[in-house]
Amino acid sequence: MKKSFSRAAHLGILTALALVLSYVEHLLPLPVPVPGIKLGLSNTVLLYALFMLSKKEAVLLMLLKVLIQGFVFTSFSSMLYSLSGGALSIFAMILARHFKGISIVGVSISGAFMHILGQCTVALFFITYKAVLSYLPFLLISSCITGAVTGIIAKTVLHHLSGRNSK
Amino acid sequence: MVKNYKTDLLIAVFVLFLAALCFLIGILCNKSNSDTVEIYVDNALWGTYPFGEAQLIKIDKAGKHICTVCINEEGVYMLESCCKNQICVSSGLLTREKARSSDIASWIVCLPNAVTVHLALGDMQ
Ligand SMILES: [Zn+2]
Repeated sequence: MKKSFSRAAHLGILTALALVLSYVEHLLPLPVPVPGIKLGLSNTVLLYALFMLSKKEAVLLMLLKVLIQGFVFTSFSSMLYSLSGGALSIFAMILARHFKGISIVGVSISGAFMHILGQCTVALFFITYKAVLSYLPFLLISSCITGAVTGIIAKTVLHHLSGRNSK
Repeated sequence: MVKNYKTDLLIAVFVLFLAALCFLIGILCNKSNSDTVEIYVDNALWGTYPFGEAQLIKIDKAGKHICTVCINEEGVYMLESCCKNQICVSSGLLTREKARSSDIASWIVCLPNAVTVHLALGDMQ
């Protein structure tokens, strides 16, 4: 009973953190010529959940973030984009985690890559494939970079946390 | 934790390879004969307009006004839009020079309204 309470509290804090991080990102757009490119800092929270807690909690965290963000800040159509991106991304990260040779940075890049792919798949239903195709190379390259950056941040955070725990 | 980043790098290289592939396909797909402005609404071609002839194109969906695209002598831009994020309006004037610089720069995209504006350049020597 007590344990489930602490887990719920933990998950709540992580959800809030993920929401705050994506809101901060929304306020400070990256200085790139293409609109809509984000660093995806909230992915570090997701990586933390996946590596320190469990698959179930990571999936729950993603769903909570997408739903709350959708209802509070954005519209239904953008919720559809983030849901498909988030679902594919978390699936890829869970899968990638099982491979021995892939570190948290590789897991993060896989997640960022599938996030782009998920969003572009939804985009194909709404806008012309020609536009999607024009944006895809840039989005893929940026997913490589942002995935690596958030992965390295998550790695540093986990490193410090596990260091403190063992002391 | 893994110290060897070989597999991580391999993933990155794979993604970059896909990016290059899409880039090539994109170049092959977006060829046209003369400079035209193509407007797509909801994944369908709404209309094709000659570049450089000043005109306002009002776009509506199910009787409701969505946005206005403006073409003038220098380029094409989103004059106004009912969308929340206004990314389309803030992306500014799309000129021939801009469209020539890269494939991605030849588009004005409004994701919330599912409206895309493309400046298709004729074959350049
Ligand atoms: Zn717009």
